[in-house]
Amino acid sequence: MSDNGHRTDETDWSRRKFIVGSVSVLVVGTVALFESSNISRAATAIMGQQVDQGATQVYQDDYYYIPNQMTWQVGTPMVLEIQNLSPVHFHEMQIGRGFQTAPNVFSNLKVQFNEDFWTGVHVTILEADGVDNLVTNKAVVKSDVPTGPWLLTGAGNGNFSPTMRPGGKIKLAFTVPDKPGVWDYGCFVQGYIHYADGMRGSINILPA
Amino acid sequence: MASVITETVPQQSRRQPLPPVVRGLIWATIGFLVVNVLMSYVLDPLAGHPFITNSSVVLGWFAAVVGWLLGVGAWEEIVLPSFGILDRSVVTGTGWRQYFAMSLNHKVVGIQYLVASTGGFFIAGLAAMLMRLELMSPTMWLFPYPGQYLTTVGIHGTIMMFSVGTVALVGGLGNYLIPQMIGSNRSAFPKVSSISVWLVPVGILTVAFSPLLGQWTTGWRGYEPLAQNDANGILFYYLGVFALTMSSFLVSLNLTATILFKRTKGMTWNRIPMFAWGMLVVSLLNIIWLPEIQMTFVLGLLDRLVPLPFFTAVGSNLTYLELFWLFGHPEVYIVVLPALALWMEIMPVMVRKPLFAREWGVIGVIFVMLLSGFVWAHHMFTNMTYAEELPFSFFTEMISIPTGLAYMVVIGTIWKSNFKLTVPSLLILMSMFNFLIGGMTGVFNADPVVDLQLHDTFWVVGHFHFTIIGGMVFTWIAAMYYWLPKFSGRTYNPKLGVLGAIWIFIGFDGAFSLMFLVGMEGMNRWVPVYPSYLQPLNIAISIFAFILGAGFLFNLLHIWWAMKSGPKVEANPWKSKSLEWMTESNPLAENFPVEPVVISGTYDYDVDGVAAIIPNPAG
Repeated sequence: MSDNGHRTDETDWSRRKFIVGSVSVLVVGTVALFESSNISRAATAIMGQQVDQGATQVYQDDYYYIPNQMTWQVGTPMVLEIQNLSPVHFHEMQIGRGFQTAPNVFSNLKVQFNEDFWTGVHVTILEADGVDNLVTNKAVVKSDVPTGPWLLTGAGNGNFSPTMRPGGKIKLAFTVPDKPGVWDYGCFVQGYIHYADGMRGSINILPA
Repeated sequence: MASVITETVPQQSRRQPLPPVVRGLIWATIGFLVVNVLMSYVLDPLAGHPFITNSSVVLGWFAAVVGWLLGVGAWEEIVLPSFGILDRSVVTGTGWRQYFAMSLNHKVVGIQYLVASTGGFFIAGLAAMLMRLELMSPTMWLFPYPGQYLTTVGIHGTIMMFSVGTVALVGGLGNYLIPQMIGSNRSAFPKVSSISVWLVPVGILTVAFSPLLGQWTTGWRGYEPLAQNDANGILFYYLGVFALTMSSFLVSLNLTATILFKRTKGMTWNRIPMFAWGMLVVSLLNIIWLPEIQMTFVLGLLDRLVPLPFFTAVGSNLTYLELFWLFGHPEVYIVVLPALALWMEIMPVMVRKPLFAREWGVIGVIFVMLLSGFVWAHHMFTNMTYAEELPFSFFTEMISIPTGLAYMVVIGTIWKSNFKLTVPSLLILMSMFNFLIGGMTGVFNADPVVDLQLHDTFWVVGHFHFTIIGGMVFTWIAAMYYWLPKFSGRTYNPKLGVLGAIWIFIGFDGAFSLMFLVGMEGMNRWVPVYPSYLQPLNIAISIFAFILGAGFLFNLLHIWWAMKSGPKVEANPWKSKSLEWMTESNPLAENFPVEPVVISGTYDYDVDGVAAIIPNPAG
């Protein structure tokens, strides 16, 4: 009988592996759920921010940007590739400072940025696919690709912003203008609710 | 003999096998990664090659579930035996380890279901506490974004309905008790239940971690076309609910077959315990309605993946609402019918009197089951013409009659008896009181004139929590106290038990009765902000809700303590005549070494003697 018990002990699986394995999966999942933004902030703080130059990818999804922090430097030539990964939603990308708001009973909805980063900037469209509209506002825009009615150059359409359909993509070439400091970017579509739901980021522009 | 074994399996005893749960997690991870990479990089890549796409995450999830089920034991229990290879020793383990692997013992499966449900109950309860914390202020202060609040509401509702309401009394108590109650050693299809229970943690975690894919704002109903507008978190809602409903569906097939075919000699239809009747009608409801809602969710999933236009702006989104509530209302009876059956099961034992008007109790549960399919549109009075409202209003008010039969049976049983107030009977009385309030406020909702005013307010929230927590959760806790000696051979501390019961009664009735008031004063559902004049009532509700949450935790700890180290009791402390009390209290033991023979009704407390005998094997 004791012989039998001894053998069972050997073939039984390990309690320690069970606890360590299942608890660590739960911990990793919970941290991923609640602490992902703090982790990325800590990683940025430790490793510092790299200055983006040349081709820079920005992905849009529901309702966030990847990345939501960038560092640019005045005078750097940039190619900004904005791609909408959302399966269902239109997304735009405005860059600016301060807010224009529309107050209601419950909150003070942010409608768009007060100051448009792109004012006076020379922008070249290198590629455009699934673009619903591109409001040029006061940017100086030319295009390497054939444009259509989606290029809105008239006044009164709001700040400079490319709006992509689900899966849409645009490539913009420009040189970072002499506007150092922290700029915000965000998406205000669907009754400004994407911004309210967290679709925002910030760019730290270093002086030349 | 021993030497022969040692010679044939030396390698096996040297290498310690991985714990099944850990192996399941590893196989699930491998399954997900392989299929996800295949989809997102090879078969269906998107521009920019993101790692997670719609289709990759859905198919990867299915691969992960297959890996998980094989890993926790389906490989040895089901796949290998189908090829004639029998190698069970590696996985199941001994002692407590059997609870953490696939098991063919129906009592182990029942406890696995109960533990999984309890886990879901407290995860979803935590979500409820976060909601109440947020609602203590009329502005957004806890959640940065409104979508996060709505996602929390959705997680709370989905996990509560599909992993607790539908599961605890059916998968948990049903699997544990039904074979014992009808004198069988096993359920009809042990392998079916052994797999289905492992889908419950999958479903709970899928829904709980759904925000990893983005917010979803539809609540547990997945309303279209809102769902099509949501971020990808809604995919995990569809998938998690699929796992949970599949689990309940498999259990229902098993329980139905068990009750129909595994009854022992003498357990005739006139003697079947009321809880078995409850399980039978609930299983039939599950078998009818769960495939319907699964199909609806598959269509919703395809709407998003392919995409197809069934329920979107170009399709018919009212069709979704109809299909959802066609299941959604029977669902609340799936939740509450086992509770009604438990009242009738436990009360005769407590009062030492035969069950009053047993036939009417059976007729009651059967007619609730039948009528539950005729009432779904009362959830959508706002979308209907007056002429369409009338029949649904009529049937909704009709359904209180068969429900009332259950009350009649229990009250008739208590009438002129030596009623002993114990913790289980106290909790059942509380449950009957709360369910009565839930039912009476439901009559107002069934009346279109009133409902159009109350629709979408906290009145409705108060109403359905009174039916579901009041009806099902209080009864679940009563059943846990009642069958505690069955689970463990130990019992609870009566004073702590009464304290626990009164504690949750005060917390529950305080929180949810105030919801009727705040609803009538204009508090809307589904919004984290509200006009500031509603704040005092909301703070009061939140405080009662925290008391309730702590009360549930108290009862959990008390039951846990009682199972581990409560006072030991004899095998049948309630002197019940029911068959499950004839078995040994150790869940790992066999129920009936010799098949029992039932010789009289199990509720015949007016006559002495036992209801079933164990025939002498020699004679």
